[in-house]
Amino acid sequence: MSAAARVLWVILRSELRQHLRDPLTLVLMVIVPLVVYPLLGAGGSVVVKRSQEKADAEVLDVATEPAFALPDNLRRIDVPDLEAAVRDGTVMAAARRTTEGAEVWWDSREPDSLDARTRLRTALSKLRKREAARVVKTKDTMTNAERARQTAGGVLPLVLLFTLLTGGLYTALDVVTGEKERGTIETLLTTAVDRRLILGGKFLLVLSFTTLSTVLSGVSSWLSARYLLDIDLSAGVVTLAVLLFLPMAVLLSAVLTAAAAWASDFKSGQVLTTPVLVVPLLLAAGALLPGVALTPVTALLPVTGLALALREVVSGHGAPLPLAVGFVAHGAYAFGALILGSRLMGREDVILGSRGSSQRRLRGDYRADALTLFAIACLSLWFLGQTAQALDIRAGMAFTQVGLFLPLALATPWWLGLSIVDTLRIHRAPLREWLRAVVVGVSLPGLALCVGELVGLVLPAPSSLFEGMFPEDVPLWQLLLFFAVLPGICEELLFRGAFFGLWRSRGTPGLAVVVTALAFGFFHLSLFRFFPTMVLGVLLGFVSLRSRSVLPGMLAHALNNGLAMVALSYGWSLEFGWPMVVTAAVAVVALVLP
Amino acid sequence: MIVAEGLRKAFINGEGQPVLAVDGVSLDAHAGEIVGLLGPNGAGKSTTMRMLSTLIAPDSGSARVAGHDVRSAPAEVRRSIGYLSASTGLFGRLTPREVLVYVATLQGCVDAEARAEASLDRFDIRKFGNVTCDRLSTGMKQKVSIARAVVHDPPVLIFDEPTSGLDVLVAQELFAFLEEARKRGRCVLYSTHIMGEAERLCDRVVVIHAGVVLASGTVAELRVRTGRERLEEVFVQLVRGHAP
Repeated sequence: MSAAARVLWVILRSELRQHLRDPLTLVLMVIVPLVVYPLLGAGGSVVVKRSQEKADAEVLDVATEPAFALPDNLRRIDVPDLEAAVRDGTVMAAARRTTEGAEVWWDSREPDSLDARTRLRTALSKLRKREAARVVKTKDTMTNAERARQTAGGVLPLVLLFTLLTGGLYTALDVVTGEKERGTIETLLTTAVDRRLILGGKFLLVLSFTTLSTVLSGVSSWLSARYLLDIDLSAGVVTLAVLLFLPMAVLLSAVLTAAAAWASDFKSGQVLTTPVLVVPLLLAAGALLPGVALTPVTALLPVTGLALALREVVSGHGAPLPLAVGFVAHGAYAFGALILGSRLMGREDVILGSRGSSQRRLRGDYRADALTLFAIACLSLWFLGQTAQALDIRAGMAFTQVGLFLPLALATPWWLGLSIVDTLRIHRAPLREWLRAVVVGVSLPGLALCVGELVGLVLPAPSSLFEGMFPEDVPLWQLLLFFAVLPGICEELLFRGAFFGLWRSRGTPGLAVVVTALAFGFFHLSLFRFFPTMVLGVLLGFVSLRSRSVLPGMLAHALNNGLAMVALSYGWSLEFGWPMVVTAAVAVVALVLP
Repeated sequence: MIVAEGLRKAFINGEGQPVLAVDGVSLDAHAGEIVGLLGPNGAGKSTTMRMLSTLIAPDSGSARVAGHDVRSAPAEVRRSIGYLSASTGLFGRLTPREVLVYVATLQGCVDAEARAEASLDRFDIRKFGNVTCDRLSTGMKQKVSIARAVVHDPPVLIFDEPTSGLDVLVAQELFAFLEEARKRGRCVLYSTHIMGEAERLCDRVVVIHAGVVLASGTVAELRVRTGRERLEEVFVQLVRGHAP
């Protein structure tokens, strides 16, 4: 055994000893997956099923016009007035068949009346189906057993994931964040052992417990399905499902340990690890969406891909290729998370709970803050901005620009204790720079068209790319306001202002322009628009760099968008050709002129 | 054994402003010597000791401990030191015996169990050697902490205010241990803000205030320099003389 492996084993053994003496660990790792979840899940289903059976067995009085076939648990009584009979409680529900369909009366004050109504509606529905069946006969080839297995396959990833996360979360917080609070991490750090090995040992502990809880959860799910829910699941299938899930255990253990290492105390640890708890569950739930199937491509989706693979395995339809892709891809994600985690864990500011960013900022390095800003901007656009725009495109655009991007751009330097004016470079610019911005802004649509044409040679854009992106029948002034002026101001403050201002704290300004442009390209969330918007970002970046101000770039950005809106409004079709090439050249020349 | 030159370390305070915790501290300590690091709370004593223990890296300056550079050979430095502070905790769910074996193993001792047994006797903790640390009294825990810090018998001891929270009897045992360590040629760097401790234990003292070394020498030399008799008065004179 190598020296490093021996140290890892010593740390893991000691951590295991400590945690196995903690009653809460045992409860979360063993009792909960093995007993509590089956009781809550399958046991709950059995209780509901039995009480439903009991209720179904009770015979209820109903009235119908005319008489039609009723199930055994409904007894027909003849009454003069259907509605009055329901109101005075003579019958629990009543139905009258009409030429259009049927009318059903029931009394919401009476619990049995709801049951009677449901049974009547079922009876009426069967009657209708029998009549329709004379015309069309349908038969589902899926057997009940297969349907049950498919449902179990959808639910099993969620059960395994939830058990893994709840068990791993507590262990990671206790073993890393808790040690910071108790001062024992300092005790370990004053030994001769490499810090990465210390955290590596802790990761192995989290992995041991997440794997244990996953295996136990698999066993209890199999027992519950087989003996409580009468679902025909073979032990081999569940074993394969659990094995498929192991990369997920590695991935999430690494993420949980890294998040716990980043936190300075238990409270901040809980805040930091909450997204780790919620996001994977949401991604796994994505596998339950209708129409989402396992393919070699969907198998690549983090968490969702593996949840889909599990669903297929349990329902008995797993094709080898997508399963292998999902397994290998998640193994790769886990490996990546481990590498990132080990780098993070090697940093003493992180491991000691002092703010690592503070030391970076002390050295005047704000690049990590720029990336954080970018991540927040992306998430706010994707989750809030796009939702708002789907509800109302104009109000949504105004909300996205003024309600999200502008506050983000202004709040970031303020939060970091920097000058807002200097970071965003809200400075006066000479007239020459404004003229340059006008020329570049007017030429940008041509340049974007040329880039789009070049990209189209490799990656042809679908003809529907811009369909529905802008509203029709909207006055031109509104198009200009919502799609040119506001993005011109707010996106420039966000990208060429805040992001660029933070990134250029280190490295050359030229590199900062390129990185800002890459971020700007990614931000537009479209493979086909990435290169045109990135090139647009490069030019706007140089406009801003040359003028030492964010303001001329706003004009150029607004002009570019505004020209596109005018073309849309008047139905002009911008075609690729020599005029566009010349226009693109003008933009570049305008930038290099002194 | 310890040589520090111009150590500097800054942090960001709660208002987001940089604060220089240690500003160019230079000091040395030799084998068979106890050097006291004297200063009020927030003077920079702990930050200096944490840099010497490689828990945090200096922003600038250099330091060598037992011949190893704190930047380029941190593992060797840690193997050569016994570090103890009020904030170093014990593993509550392990017994003192398990803690000692664990730390000795991590420090690379091949005879970890034998060293742990010897430490149980040396610090008179054998009788509760199999009780988990959570269930020990504060004094007992502190004894285990001292044993933990020196279980690998390092040549350099860095003790940061080790008597805070100790009762008189345990403190006396600690002093006796440090005096014995000095006799055995160990180098001890001992921080405190209690003048009586420094007077009793230290061969030399380094007075530190606001991250800056104000004076260093034997207690007798500092008395002559300030013209004061009691160490408290010497200390106050030095600090007031430096106060902005």
